[in-house]
Amino acid sequence: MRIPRKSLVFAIDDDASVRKGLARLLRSVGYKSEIFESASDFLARRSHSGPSCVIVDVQMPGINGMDLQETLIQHRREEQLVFITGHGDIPMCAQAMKAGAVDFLRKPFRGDELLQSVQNALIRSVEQRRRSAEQNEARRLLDLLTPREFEVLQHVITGMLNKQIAGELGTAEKTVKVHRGRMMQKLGITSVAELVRLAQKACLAPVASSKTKV
Amino acid sequence: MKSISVQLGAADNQSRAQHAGDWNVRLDSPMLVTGLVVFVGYYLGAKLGFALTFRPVPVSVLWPPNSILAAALLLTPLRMWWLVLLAAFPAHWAAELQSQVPATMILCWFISNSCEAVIGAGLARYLIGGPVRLNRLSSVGYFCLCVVFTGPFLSSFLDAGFVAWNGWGHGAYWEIWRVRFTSNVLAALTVAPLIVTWATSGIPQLRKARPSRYLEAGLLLLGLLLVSFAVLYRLGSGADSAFLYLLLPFLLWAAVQLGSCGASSALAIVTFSAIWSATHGHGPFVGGSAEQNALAVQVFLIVLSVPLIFLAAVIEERANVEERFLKVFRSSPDAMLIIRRRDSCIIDVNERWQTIFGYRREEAIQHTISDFYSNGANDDVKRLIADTSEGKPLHDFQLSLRTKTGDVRETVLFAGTVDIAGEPCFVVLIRDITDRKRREAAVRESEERFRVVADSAPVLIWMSGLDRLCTFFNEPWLQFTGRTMEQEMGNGWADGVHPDDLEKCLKTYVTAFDAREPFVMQYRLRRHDGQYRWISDSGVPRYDARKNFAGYIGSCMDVTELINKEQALRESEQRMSLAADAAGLIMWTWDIRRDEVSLSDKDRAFFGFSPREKLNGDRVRSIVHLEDRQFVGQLVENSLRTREELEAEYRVVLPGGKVRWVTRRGRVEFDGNGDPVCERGVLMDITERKQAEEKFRLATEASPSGIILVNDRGRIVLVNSQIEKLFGYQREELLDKPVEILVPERFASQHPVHRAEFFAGPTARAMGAGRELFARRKDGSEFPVEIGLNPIQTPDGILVLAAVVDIFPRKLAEAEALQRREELGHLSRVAVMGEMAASIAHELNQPLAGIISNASAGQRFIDRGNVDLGELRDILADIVADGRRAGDVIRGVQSMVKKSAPARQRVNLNDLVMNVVHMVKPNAMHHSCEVQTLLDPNLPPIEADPIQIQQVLINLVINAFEAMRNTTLSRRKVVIATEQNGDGAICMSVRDYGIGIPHEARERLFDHFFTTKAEGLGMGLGIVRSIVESHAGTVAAENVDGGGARFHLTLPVSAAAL
Repeated sequence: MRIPRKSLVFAIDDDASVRKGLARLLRSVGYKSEIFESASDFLARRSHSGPSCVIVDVQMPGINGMDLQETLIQHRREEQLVFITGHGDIPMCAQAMKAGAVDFLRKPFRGDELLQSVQNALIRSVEQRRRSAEQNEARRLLDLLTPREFEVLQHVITGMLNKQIAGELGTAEKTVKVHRGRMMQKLGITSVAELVRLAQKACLAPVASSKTKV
Repeated sequence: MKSISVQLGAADNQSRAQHAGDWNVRLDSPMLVTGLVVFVGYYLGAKLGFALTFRPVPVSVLWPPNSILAAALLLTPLRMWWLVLLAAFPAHWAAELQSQVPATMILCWFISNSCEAVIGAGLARYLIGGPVRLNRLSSVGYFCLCVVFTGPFLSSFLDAGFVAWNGWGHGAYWEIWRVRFTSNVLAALTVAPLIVTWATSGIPQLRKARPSRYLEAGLLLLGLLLVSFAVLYRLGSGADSAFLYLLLPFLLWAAVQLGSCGASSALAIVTFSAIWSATHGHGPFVGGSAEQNALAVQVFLIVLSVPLIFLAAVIEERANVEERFLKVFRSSPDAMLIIRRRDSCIIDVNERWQTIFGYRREEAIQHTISDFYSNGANDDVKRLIADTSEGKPLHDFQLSLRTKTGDVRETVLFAGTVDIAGEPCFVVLIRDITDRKRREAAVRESEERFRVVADSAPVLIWMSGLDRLCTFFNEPWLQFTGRTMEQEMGNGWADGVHPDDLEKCLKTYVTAFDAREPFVMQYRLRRHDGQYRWISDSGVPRYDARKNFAGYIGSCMDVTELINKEQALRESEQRMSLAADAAGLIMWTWDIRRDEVSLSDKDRAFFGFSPREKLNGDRVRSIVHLEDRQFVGQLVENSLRTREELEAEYRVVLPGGKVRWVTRRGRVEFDGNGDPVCERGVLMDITERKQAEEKFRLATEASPSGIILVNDRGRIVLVNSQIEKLFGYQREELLDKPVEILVPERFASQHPVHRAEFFAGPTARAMGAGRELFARRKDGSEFPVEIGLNPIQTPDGILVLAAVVDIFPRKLAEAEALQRREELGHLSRVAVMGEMAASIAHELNQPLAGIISNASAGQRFIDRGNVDLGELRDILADIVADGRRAGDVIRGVQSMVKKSAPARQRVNLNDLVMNVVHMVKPNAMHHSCEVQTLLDPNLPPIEADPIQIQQVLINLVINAFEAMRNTTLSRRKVVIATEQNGDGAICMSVRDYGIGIPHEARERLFDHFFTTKAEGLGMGLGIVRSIVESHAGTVAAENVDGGGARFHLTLPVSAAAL
């Protein structure tokens, strides 16, 4: 099992023996781990920069597992969550998974089952981190563009011709062409395919044309 | 003339009879007659006046109308004067008219004529002050002064004035005045007396006069007429006027013999004759002119008349006096004698003297009184004779005189001198007082006799006179009061009356006295020793022989002893009657010999007997109820025979058909011969008691419990039908048996001891407190009972009312209920466990998760080969701990679910709370609820079944979670608190912040199978209650300010019976 660099596993449970068991289990595989008795303790800690996984008990006094998930999403934190529960039910499980949980395990879970989930979570975390780095790069490039150039880009990636774009924006084809060339130059790309890929990385949504003929 | 006087007399009488001020203006027939007579008289008088006028110049010598009018006014009462005047007026008018006198003159003359008559008559009547009779000197004097002189004197001014004023007559005023005056005076002197005398006394005299009188009057009349003719007619004018005196003897004769009536008549004849003769030119008065002649006639007649009527009056007055004396003398009730002083010769005796002394008048006259009274003459008679001969008057000279028959008469003499026929005489009046003396003596004797009787009577006697003052007290009275007669006289006796009684005593006396009714009164009178004694005083009015009320006589008796006895008797009777009343007793007495039953009025009313009705045995028996009558009769007969007290209870029928129960107790009293005399006794209305007894019996019979009444000897007095059913005995088998036959044999020996203890201090209580009691049936079988004991106070001593309840069915039911409750509890626990499955799973999964994690870690450490043994040991230790923990959870669940009998032990409630908090933690998290505890650290341990208490807590906490489903997350909290409440109980409360208890659910909150939850069984709170109550605790619920509900549990610290 390959443990990503700088990865850290957090475990939050109000039950001491569960915390102890988890800590040992994670240590036995070589994960670095931090154990918390409550979610608020965890939230009090500065967020980890590297790949991270959070094992959290659903039922806890104070902030419970589900609340924690919501809080993290609200704060755009990218920790991957593995839920454990003494008495879970399907709606709870479904809700957690929809919100992006890696896994939802019922106590008593098997050791390797949990470890697998942790592994998956960490991989997903690494992936997540990479994707967000690309997006950041693409956004940085896109930020170089003028608003007019960004508009032209938005139309280009939908596959429109210059003439169409000019019509759409209410300008001359020639002007569109100039904006297009400058844009390509600024972004350092030559093909529309590359442009589309960049836009995807930046999670840019194409603009729906009002006059698109179907 | 006769008719006039009759009418006038009648009018006079009438006026006297009537009240002086009664001016009755009513024209009745006597008045009409009077008016008519006056009219006729006046008219004729006027005619006469005109006829007697001297000619040729009319000179009225005599003018009678005025005098007729005056006479009429003198004779008629004042109130009829108007009539007289009214009647005279037309006569006057008619008479004057004939002589061609002008109307005003007629009127004026009438006024002056009336004035004369009114003045004369009014004045005369005023001065005489009574009916005018010209038979007394004073009357005649006043008559002459007023009627004859004053009236004409005054009216003549008026008359002459009128004549002058009207210019009728001719002549000087004074001439006219003089003519009028003289003619009026003459008329008043002659006409008025004639009418008045004849009207007042002439007619009666005429009636009773003897024939000799008529003869005398006739001779006189004849003589007078002859002389008048001779002297006044035949005699010439120049003749010697001395012949005129020939008239005088006849006039005097008339005055002396025939009184005023005769004198006035004779005078009238002479007057008429003189004037008539002169008028016709005859007689002595024709010599001069008419005026002179008239004056001469008038003067002659006036001078002749005045002495004559005075003389007549004097003579008549004297004759009247003598006649009166003679009348008195003859008809006197006392004997009278007239004795000549000179020789003591008896001149006259009256009728009374003759009857008293038995002598005839002929025998007495010409004898001296000593001829009659000398025999047995005493000094008194001698003195009488001496005195009378000396002419001393006698007064109240008492003398005993003998009669012709020799009787002695007690007399009292009065004597006075009187001249009879010039001889000084004695008039002696002898009053016969023999009868009076005899009566007085009789009275004296009777009074003496009365006094002796009164003084020797054993009673106190008093007498009072007409003035209510006491005049006599007998000797016993004086002895009683110790005072003298003088002290007691009048109102002196009242001093001795007790001040408190005095007012009533006097009032009674005075009231009776004024009503002349007998009276009886009682008062206290002071005895000589100062002690007040009760006196019964009865007084009756007494009357003298003529039935005239003469005062009161009364007799008194000292009734102090009697009153004391009576009072004592009355008090004792009152006390008895009060006592009887208070006790509702009716006392009666049956006098057997007379067959009379006596009852008080009140009691008579009770039985419907009238107060007056005579009650005998049969009447009284008639109200006894028909069904009881024979039995009562028999009882009475028995008591008469056996002489024993009679006692019976029976019914009586009151008026209106109401039936009452009475109890009768009576005793017959016997006389010395052993015969029954009377039966005395009391009756009492015991209807209420009977009804109460009946009610008691019915209530007893109706009671669902068996009821036994036991007396102080332990004997059964009463049982109800329930007892028969319970014990299998017949009622008769139990009555009067010892109550121990109902007690199981193993307890029977102890029972009398317990019974004695109960009777020592009888209070209502349950029997055999704390012990299970058993009763024995007739067949020997036993059954558990509960017995309540109640002492009942009765006249027969204390009875014990034992209420026996067979508690076997109840015990059975209780056992079943317990079982059911336990089953229910179990069911409930199972249900709770089901509800807590998630929680339990959680609880199990936690240690399992720990175990598996630890074990996996261990395996991996081993696989890696770098096993740290210490680490491994730790892992294994943790695994063991977790395993144990899981086991505990399982056991806990098992204990809750296991069907086991409740087990009491000493537990700390705080521990149980913590256990439960732990157990429900997963649930709490599931419901996002916080569970808070506020525990009293010094809680004493309690005796309880921990599983059940936990079950209660779990139920309450889970309920709390459920209640907060809709509460905002931040408020979801359950607070469990424990505390001591200071009185040996522990309080535990579970509070939530949920929806609270719906109002409509509050009542049934703790009922089984009541739920507000869709999926609930409705057993939770029902179980809670039954568990808490089985621990002798209480549970309550309330809504709390600030939201949510709070459940309170209170559990006693000390052990409670299951």
